[in-house]
Amino acid sequence: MLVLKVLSLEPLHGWGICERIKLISEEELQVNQGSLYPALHKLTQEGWIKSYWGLTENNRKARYYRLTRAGKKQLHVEAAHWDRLAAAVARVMATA
Amino acid sequence: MRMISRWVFRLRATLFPGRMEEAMEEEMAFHMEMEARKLMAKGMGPKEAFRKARRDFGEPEYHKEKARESWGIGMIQNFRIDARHTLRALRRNPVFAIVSILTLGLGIGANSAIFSVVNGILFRDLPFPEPDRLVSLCETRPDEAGTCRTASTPNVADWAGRSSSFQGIGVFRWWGHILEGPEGAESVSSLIATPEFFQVMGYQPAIGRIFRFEDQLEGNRNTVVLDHDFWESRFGSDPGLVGTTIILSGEPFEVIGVLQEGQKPPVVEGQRADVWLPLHFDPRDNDRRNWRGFYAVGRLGPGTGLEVARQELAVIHQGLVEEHPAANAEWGLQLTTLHDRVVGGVKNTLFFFLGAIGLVLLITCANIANLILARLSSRESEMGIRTALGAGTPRLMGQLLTEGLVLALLGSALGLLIAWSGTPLFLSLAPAGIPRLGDVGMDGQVLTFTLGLAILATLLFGIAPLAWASRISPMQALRGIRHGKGRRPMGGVNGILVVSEVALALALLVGAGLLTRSFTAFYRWDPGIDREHLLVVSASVATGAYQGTDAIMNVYRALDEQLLALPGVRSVARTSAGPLFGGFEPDQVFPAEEARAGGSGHQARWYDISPSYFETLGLPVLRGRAFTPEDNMNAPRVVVVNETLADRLWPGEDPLGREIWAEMHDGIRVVIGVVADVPPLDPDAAVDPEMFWPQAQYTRPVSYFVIRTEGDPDPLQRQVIDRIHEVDPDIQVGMISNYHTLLDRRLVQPRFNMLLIAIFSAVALVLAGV
Repeated sequence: MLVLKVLSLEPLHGWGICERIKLISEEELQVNQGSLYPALHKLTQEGWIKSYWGLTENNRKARYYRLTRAGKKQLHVEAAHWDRLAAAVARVMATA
Repeated sequence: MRMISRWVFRLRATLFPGRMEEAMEEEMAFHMEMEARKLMAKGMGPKEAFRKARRDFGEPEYHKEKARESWGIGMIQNFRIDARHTLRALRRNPVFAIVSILTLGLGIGANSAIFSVVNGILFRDLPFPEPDRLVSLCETRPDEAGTCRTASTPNVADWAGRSSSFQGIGVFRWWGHILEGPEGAESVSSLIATPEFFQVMGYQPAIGRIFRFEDQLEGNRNTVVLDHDFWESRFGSDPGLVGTTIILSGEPFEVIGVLQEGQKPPVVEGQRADVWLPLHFDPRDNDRRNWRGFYAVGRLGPGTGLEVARQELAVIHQGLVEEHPAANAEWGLQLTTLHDRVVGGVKNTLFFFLGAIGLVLLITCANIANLILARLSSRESEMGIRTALGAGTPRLMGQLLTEGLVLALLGSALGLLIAWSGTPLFLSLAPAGIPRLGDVGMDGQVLTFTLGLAILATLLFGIAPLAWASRISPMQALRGIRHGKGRRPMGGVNGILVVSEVALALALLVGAGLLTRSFTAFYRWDPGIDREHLLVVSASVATGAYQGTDAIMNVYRALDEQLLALPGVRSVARTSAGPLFGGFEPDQVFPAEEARAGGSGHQARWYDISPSYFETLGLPVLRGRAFTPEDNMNAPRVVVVNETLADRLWPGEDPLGREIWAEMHDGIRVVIGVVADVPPLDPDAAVDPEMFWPQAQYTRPVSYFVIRTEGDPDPLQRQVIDRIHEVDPDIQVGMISNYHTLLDRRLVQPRFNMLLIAIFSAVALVLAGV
């Protein structure tokens, strides 16, 4: 879900995704760098993201990933799911 | 949508694994480089930065493996690796490789060979257009449990005329003719059929035309259509033959056409047809309602089901029983597909062989399973290490299955080779009389079957090793290494495998034993005939020189005298057929009093014989007398019946002096004697009702001569032929044989069955013994 969310802002390469998640979460969330790639492949296979070869700011060839339409839909589904879960957890915590 | 994208992805991964690998390699390297740069920007030394980046990333190979798994092509990848590994392992262990591949090759090859036979005979379509719609119509007797009898033409005409299920119903039957020509006379197999039969079967002329309805009207000139092969062999494919006249049994016939190549009559009697003649009477002729001498073949209308036609015919048949009770009351009607009619006789035998050979395959699999288990015991440590290194149980099982599949595929390749070379051998051993042997051969279905067998075999012999692999514990396995000894795994399973192998082999042996027993029953056949000193010769005097009864009888008698004068010949007799030789000529017979009243009659086999026939063969005349030379055209027509026919026609009464009437041989004959039954060769068969009349009262230019000798009949064969040619060098001698050879020829089929099952058993025993 996080990967989808990050990619919904702009297409990124693998390392960029890691950095972005760290940045946005203010280092709270650490992505296991290596495991990111199997995950990305999995998402590609599901058809939620698509990869293409692009150039970085300093003209280096890199594999970028972007969100597909199916991926956008999936993001909504997962976000809604997360909201419900988070709210439920918050309610439980509030009563305790 | 998701499904599609998933499959596209997988397909790409499968087709271009290299490109996927490269891309992954590159992006991971890129990741680490970026990470290192970031660290360097923070002031870290380049070496250290790269090391830290690498450490943070984790083991790239591990992540790659994970990613590959996510590609969903792990199985294929693994299969490749395992297959390569297996081939290497087989090369390292050639004894195991050779033994197991040979075993599998034998087992699968035998199965493929038998399947190609079964496939060709049972499963392939009959070689006629739209064969699904072709049906066979039989008349049956309730006391014969569904035995398919031939039909009468007026009945067939009524079925066709009153039903709406059929596009047409045609009839045909075999006959024999003598074709006369400048090179001498030869007997040809002829087929008599209605024009509807040609339409139903879809026969087309290669040249000329086929029959029209006019051709079968009495009084019109005789016409004949030739079989393509016969036209080729006898007339050298002469296209000018159409329109000319050939002489068949003394009568001129105009050749109106030649059938297309490969167009043959449906195999219901295993006979060929050289010449095709139109029926020479109106099939609707009610006088012939009782003559059930024709095979009826129909073509169902498009979309008409067999069951619908069956129901409609049942009603029509009921009507015919009421309209013609005398002819039809004791008869039923049976409708089957033509395919069933053609192959029904050998279906059980073939399935029996398929089952037997299936047992051989089971034994093969048990055998291979055993071999694999034995080999696994020495590989336990290998498996243990693999498990310890992280190969999951599914991965190990996959490996074992792959190993099995590689073995099975190699075995199948060998098996196909064996089947390919073995099928012709099978065909050359197979007796005549098995229908459709020409349709047997290798094709896609056989290949598919073989591939299926390979996979089935893999699963079968893979079960035990799989069960074993699922129980591997790395600890034990590794400990096994330290103690340096392999334990034979799954001792219990091993026992079961051996026991089942022996049991299966035993089952085959029992089958072989039973077949052998029924075979020896044939050898014990005791027809009440002294078989030791008997010679059978067929001779044709249809040379054109002898026309009419007197001329033929005179030359016959001259032949009798010449043969009798040979030293060592005790007696000589003539007959149109006899036990184990000659054709089967049935006729419908009635007690004369019933024929006038219109009864349904009995089917009886008939023979024309010379007076000395019973005595020469050694058949006792139980009542009355045998024929004498005085029973000729100037004397009353007489007949001798066998016990069975006497009992059928006049149960419990004295048949002597009674009169019988035979459908195809118009006229009343007086019964003058009863001869003993000859038990049929097949111990399970019933004795045919039979009747005999003197050749002097029914003369044909072809006859068998039965010669009783003092000693060994074989040395006399040359002299017998010489003596016949002394009478007239134009007389054609067909077959000449002692009686043992005749019996031998009839035993070809049961011997073949026995041989086949014996081979299976031998293979099974060898396999079980390995």
